[in-house]
Amino acid sequence: MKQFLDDAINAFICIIGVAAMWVLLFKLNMVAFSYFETSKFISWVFIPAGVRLISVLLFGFYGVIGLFLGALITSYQVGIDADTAVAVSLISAFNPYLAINVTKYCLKIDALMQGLSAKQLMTISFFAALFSGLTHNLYFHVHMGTGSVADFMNMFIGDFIGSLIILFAFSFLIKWLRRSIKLQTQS
Amino acid sequence: MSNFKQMYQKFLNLAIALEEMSDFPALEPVEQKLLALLNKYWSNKEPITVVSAMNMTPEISTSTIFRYLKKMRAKGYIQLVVDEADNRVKYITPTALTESYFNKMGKLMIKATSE
Repeated sequence: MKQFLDDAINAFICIIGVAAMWVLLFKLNMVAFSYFETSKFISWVFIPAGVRLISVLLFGFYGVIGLFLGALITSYQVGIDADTAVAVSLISAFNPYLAINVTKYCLKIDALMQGLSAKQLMTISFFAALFSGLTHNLYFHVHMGTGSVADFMNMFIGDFIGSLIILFAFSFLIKWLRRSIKLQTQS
Repeated sequence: MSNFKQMYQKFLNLAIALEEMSDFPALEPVEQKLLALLNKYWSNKEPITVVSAMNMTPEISTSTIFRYLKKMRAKGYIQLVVDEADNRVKYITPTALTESYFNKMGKLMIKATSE
């Protein structure tokens, strides 16, 4: 019973952490890259796409739930109706899960991502961005009559650039942490 | 719960891939040795074919060398150039990444000796 409670708490932390990270980066994107926004949902640089990628890669389905909650919060904030907010949040949360798992399967990457290379990680982020642009704009086109090929390209490029910014940020952060730990142990 | 153990393992593997993004693709010790051996030919401006490379050293079997050459090509450290006269012959040549790798190694060596 204690084990079950511990796991439930950890799962809850994962979900809330992912949702908080999504909201935080969404806000940061609105402030830092507002110049690149072309509509409520589309921007030439969309850094929360990096959260989608990392949270699904690491936390799997917990990541999906966290992304759904995060996207729901930010959807309400951009002023859309409840039905659209739920639909867009579901697409936003589930499409990276599908795209990442299909790409992992095609690239023969195992569940624990053993031997994952930077090139494969970039490929996964490329297809996750492609799938995100496609599914979102398909929904916008069918239900709102707004999605177009240009919007799809815009969202795909924005998501891919955003993912790369986050991946490189993490990459430099890991390097910096390693270097500072090394310096601390030497002194 | 194994789920959280798996998450940690995934995190470690992701961290390796992320670190590689802002650095050179990781080379295994055998790949480092092969690159050093190949560099001897490249510095002397001697062409080296895949077949000759497979017999560069008696310490590693030809099939193992071939397997590692394929991996090094995938990582971008070497490229194959087909012979103009005989397209069965392929030469191994360095890439821009190889040049940067050796440059970085040289700088690190100087840094290490000065420390």
